[in-house]
Amino acid sequence: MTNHKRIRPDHEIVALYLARDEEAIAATDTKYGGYLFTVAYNILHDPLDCEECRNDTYLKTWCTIPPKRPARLQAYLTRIIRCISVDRYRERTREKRIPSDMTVSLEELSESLASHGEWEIETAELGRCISDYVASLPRRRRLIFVCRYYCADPPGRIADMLGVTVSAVYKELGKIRAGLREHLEKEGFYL
Amino acid sequence: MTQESLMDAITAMDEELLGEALDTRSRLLPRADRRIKPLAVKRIGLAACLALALLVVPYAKLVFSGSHASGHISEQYFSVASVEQALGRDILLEPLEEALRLTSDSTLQINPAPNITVSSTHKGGPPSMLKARYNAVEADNSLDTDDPQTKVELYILFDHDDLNDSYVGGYEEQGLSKQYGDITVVYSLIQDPLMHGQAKFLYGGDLYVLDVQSTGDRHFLMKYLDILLGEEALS
Repeated sequence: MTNHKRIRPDHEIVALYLARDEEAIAATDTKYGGYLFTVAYNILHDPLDCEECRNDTYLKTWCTIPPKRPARLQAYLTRIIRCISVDRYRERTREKRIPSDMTVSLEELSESLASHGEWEIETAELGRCISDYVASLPRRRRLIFVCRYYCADPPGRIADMLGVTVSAVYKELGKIRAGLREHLEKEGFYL
Repeated sequence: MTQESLMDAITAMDEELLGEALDTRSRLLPRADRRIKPLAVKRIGLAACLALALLVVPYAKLVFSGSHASGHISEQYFSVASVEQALGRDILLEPLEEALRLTSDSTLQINPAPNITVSSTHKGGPPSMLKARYNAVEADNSLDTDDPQTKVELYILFDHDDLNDSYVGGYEEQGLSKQYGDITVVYSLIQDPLMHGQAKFLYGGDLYVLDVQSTGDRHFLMKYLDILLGEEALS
C-alpha cells in the first residue's frame, strides 16, 4: 500500500509543537527526516550515528518548542542536528580520525585562513564576522558557502544542484575563501 | 584559528541567513523519487513547448516597454503547425505538442483549448512576440494532497539576442544556470506564493522565456525545461 503522507507547511508543524501534539515529530520526520540525515551523514559518515543524531534532534526540538517559536524551522533543525553531529564527531575524532566531508571542508577553509601569527578571537565574535561576510555575498555564493561549510555537501553535489561543473564550484569556493580571509583581515582578526 | 573554532563559529551563523540559503538548497536538491519516465518526459516536454507557444502573456506590454499602445496587432493560432506556417519558420514547440497529443500514457492532463498568440508592434509588421499558455495537472501519487496544478507560459521574443533584454515579471537573479548542449539556460526559482520558476535562453536567434507556476510544494520548471530542451527534443 502506498504510504500517503501529507507534507505540512512549517507553520503547521510549529503549531503542533506548541500544542504539544506528538504528530509534530512525525510531521518533522516526514518533511525533514531525509534532509537531516544527510546533514548528519556529511559530518559523521556513519548511518547508525546519524540515526541517533536525528532522533536526538527531534527530542531537542520537542523540548525547546515552546518556548522557542522558530521562524524558519529548517534552519532551526539544521542548527540543532549540526551541533549534535559535531559533538559526536569530536568524540569520534578523539578516538580516531574519521574521513568525512566535514573534515575535508574544515581543512580547506582553515588552510585558507591560516596565518603565521596567533589568533585571539572568541568563537561568537568570529561567528558574527562570518555571518556578516556571508550576508555580503551574492545569493549564489552564499548558497555555495552554506552548502559546503555548513552542510558539508561535497562539491560534486553542489555542482549538480546548480547545474554547473565541479571546477566551477571549486573556483567559487576559492573566491569565497579568499574573500573571507580579506574580510577577517579588515575586521582585525589577524595579529 | 583551529578547525574547532571555525566549526563552532560557522554553527553560530545567523539563522535568518542560514534559513534563506537552506530554502534554496532544498529547492535545488534533485528529487530522484519523482523522476518522470523517459517517454513521459518527452511527451510532457512536447506538451510544455506547445503550452508555451499557446500561452498569451499579459505581460507583453511590459516586454515591449510601452510599445503596446494602439497599433499592437495579435493573431490567434491553435496549433504549432499553423503558427510555424504563418511565421514561415520553425520554433521550439513541436516537442511539447507531440507530448500533449500522446496523453494516454502521460502524467499530464491536457487543457483542451490550447492558445497561441503572435503579436506585432504594428499592423503589417514582423512578428515580435509569441505567447502560449498551457494548464496542466501534475499527477503525483506520493502526496496525500490534490495533484498540483501547473500553469506553463512560453514567451518567444523574436530576434532578441540578449538574455537580459526583456523578460516576464517574476524573474529574480539568483545566478542559477543549466547547460543543455550549446544552450545556456538561466533560471530562477521563487515562491510567491505559488512555486514559480522562470527560465530564459536564446535559441535560433530568439529569446525564449519559460514561466512555470504550480500549486503544491515543489517546482516543475526543470521538468518542462528538460522536455523542451532535453536531448531527445534537440536531436
